[in-house]
Amino acid sequence: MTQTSTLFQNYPTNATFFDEVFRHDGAVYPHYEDIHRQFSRLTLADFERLNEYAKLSFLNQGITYAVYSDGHKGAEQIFPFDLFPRIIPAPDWEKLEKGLIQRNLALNLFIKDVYSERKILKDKIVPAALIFSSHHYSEEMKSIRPKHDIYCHICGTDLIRHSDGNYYVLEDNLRSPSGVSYVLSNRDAIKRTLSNAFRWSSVRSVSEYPAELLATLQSVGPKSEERPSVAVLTPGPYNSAYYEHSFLAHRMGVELVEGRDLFVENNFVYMRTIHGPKRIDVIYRRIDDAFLDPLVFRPDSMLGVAGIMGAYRAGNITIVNAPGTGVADDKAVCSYVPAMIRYYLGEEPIIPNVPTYLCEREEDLKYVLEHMQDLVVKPVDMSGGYGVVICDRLSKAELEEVKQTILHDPRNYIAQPRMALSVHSTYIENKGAFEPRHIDLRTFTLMGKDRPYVLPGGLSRVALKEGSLIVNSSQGGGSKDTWVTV
Amino acid sequence: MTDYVIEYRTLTEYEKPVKQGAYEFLIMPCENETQKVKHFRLLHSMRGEPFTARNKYGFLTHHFHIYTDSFEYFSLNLLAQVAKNPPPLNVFSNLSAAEENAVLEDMEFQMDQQSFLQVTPLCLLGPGDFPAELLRLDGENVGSYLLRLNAGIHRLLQYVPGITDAGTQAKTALEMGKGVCQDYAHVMIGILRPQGIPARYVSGYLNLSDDRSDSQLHAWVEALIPQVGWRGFDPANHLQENDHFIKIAHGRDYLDCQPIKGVLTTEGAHKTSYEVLVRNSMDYNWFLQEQQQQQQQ
Repeated sequence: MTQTSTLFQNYPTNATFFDEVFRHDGAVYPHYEDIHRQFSRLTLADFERLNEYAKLSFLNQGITYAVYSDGHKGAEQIFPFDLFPRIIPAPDWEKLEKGLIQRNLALNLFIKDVYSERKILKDKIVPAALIFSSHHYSEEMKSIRPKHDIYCHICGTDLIRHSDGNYYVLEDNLRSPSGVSYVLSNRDAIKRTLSNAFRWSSVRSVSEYPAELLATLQSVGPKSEERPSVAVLTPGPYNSAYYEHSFLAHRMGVELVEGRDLFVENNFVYMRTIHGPKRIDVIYRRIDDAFLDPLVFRPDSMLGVAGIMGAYRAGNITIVNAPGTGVADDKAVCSYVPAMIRYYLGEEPIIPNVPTYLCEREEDLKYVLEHMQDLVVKPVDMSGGYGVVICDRLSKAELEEVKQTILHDPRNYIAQPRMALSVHSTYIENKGAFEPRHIDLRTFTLMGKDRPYVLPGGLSRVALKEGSLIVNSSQGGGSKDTWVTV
Repeated sequence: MTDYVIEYRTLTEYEKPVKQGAYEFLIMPCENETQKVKHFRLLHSMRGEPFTARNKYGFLTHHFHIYTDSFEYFSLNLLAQVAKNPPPLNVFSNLSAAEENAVLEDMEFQMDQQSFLQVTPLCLLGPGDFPAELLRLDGENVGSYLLRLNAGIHRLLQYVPGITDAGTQAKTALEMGKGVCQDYAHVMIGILRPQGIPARYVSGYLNLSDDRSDSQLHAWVEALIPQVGWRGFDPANHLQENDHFIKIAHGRDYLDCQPIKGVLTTEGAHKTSYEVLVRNSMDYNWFLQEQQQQQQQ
């Protein structure tokens, strides 16, 4: 290589974090050599042109999302996309894939156990109080056995890579994990923009995800002998993930419905169509448990379907994911997943958890209050990065405020060490250069009947603000395409 | 054995037409060791027939889901003939209080009975909300305690119809010192569960043994006594459950046993009236004859 590009000229190396692309001595890891060489050949102007082209591609496809905050009511934004793909070598991925399937098997067995025999609670492996104080525990599910005992069909597990170079599980999202539509759109954008680089690399495809999702949903239909009809239930266009709901329905070739499009008669769920009622067998719902059935949960819900829980109990519909799965994605319960893996599978966890302190445990609480500076505090039942407090950024008064909040309701908070999320070269527009930014990885695991599937790669989320650790799109994060090599 | 005919009538009138509605009724007497539904008839003002579903504790609900017709009133009349045998009254186990405690403190038992050990908001009581003498004494058998508590709660509250509503918490009723059967039941549950004695809310019909009709269903409590099983207590009337009690359903609190739930699309107000009658079936010969004729056809 003779030509040196300005794009990496001032790229800082940092011993505190694991850089996915560069070693501490500045050399490039072997699996990044090709793509780095390609970028290095570009001038700043060339790269800017590619970058604009990629952005336009998203805008033209209408790939936007809405953010809820005090000032703005669901304004549409483009999800920032970074052209430098994250690359995971095949052997690393193989291990992650095994670890994710192992984790999901254990989570499903756990949820089934909680709603039936409760062996793990009786054996005091997981504290019962933790389960029954969870907002997501669903008494309804005690009298319902989902088809094939699968509760959590779609799971989004978030992984990070620590400064030791190892992957850790940050959390599992078992309710309605979103982001998969970006994985597919990112890949489309990369193929269009970096067609040469992509062609030269051997990257595992992600395009079969919608077909895998449909097959997963069909494998859990209420009547095994028939091909079930599937629908995606959305809260509607004002939901922040509406694009994804419509995208998935469209790519699977199934109906996208709102609660008002459905009704229940004689414990079957029907969709209204101009040709009369059409029976629905499997619902991939993207609404929360509390809104599913106004006769059972929140009576003011306009999003759900009156009577759907009765139909579910009668075995005439499959709800994906099952209600009550959120009991296992409570961040305090999440810390027991390694114990679940040992208990149900008799195996050692392949991917470890990020160490977690449960504020409701007295000794943990003491540690948390004494080591606030080194910790990240999170409410147990919020997602999207909401409510996360990174304590070393706080003033003394603010710190005291956080302490009081925790002490007021210890069950509701966990703390984790400020894990050094790995960094990845990311193009920073106003600097005209690549800089390291923190990333994580949202993975997507499907559990159908006898067909576990992990989407190769997933969504690499990047915190675009310098030094920021919060990667969620609702908090100013962007994303990267994720390449798993063949 | 006693034969009862139970009548449940409700009429709701809407100011503006209802375009869509879904109703769930939990009013049918359940079937168990002491009671059996011999016949029933459901008369209503809706086009089409209701369908039945089971709720989370297995009790039968009737659903009316109306999507095509608009309506301005909804009337429903359930007539059911129920054969009732006297339920067992014995509340005393052969165990010592310490042995009973061992059962109640067993993790396996607690996990299996968790639904009826966890306090819900309607039943939530603090230690200062009721006299400490209503707590179980050291060495007191669960059965004796339940009889004592049943009497104690009866004395604690004054029965005043209409003073509380469906959302009234046990704590509020205790502060007022007044309530209806539902409040008595919530108070008893709120005292029992934190002491590790499983307790469930029961809705049903009570034969008042005279010709009075009632505007509400009755509510009482079932508590689980080690070795003995579930026994019913009616703190509002200071009675143990007997063959005048006809059970519909049980749950964690009133919210699991609401007789009517509705989700409607309408503007404007509505007015609902209810009437509940329990009679000895001798007074309903016409109903029985009609049922028999139908069966013969």
